Amino acid sequence: MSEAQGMLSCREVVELVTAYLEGALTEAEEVRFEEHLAMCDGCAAYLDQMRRTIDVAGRLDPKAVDVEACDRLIHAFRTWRAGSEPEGGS
Amino acid sequence: MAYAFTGPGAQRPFAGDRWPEPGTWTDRARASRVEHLPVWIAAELWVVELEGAVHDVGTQLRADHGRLVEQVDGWDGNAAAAFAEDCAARIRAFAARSGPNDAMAAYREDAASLGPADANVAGWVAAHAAAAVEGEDGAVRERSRQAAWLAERLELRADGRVTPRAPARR
Repeated sequence: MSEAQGMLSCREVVELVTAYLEGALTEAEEVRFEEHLAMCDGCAAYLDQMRRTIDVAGRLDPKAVDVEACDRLIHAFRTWRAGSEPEGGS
Repeated sequence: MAYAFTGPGAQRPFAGDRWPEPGTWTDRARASRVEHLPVWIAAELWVVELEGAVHDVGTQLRADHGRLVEQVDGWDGNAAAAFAEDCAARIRAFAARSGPNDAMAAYREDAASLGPADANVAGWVAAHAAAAVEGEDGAVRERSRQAAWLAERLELRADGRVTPRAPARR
């Protein structure tokens, strides 16, 4: 496959970004993914944002969340139904 | 020996970190042969030494271990600007050969706005313009031409070394 034929679209890159960050792509898929990033600043920035988000979210300590706030969140998730607002939302 | 384009300060493209200091080994190194360098153009170019199992994956070289050897000083803003302009001239030439069509008009517009920071895009657009005129083989030839341009301008060698410069006369 030539470079031009094999170039991923921005939409495909967005769909594959999680798999890329989890190391779930084949080597050939990774290279095609990175070839796109090499010439697309927008997708490179998107990847960077995703990596930072995962990095920050991954460092949240559940113990640091206030017990009451945690209870309210769990209650809201349990009572949430499609098409309705969660109870206790602000 | 191979080469690797990096972001400023030896930032590894897409990895979110930097290469270690020159001479320090790192695992899972990625680099490129001269023939594929135009695909990976970025701010800095380094000579890289690879060790362990080394294999080609498309336009990349992947190795168990690698380290930066030396930065290729010739790759700077002036070289990037010259590369972008060279590619822009190629795009204009392909557009002239193809006659009027929308795709070529878009490529020609791209060529008019390319600057030093767009050297990577310039090479990509030139390859696509070549494909539009000469087919996929044309794109491969255009990328080879770009690689030869880089090799000549930067005095790169196929084995990854920069040609030693003659000592300056006093």
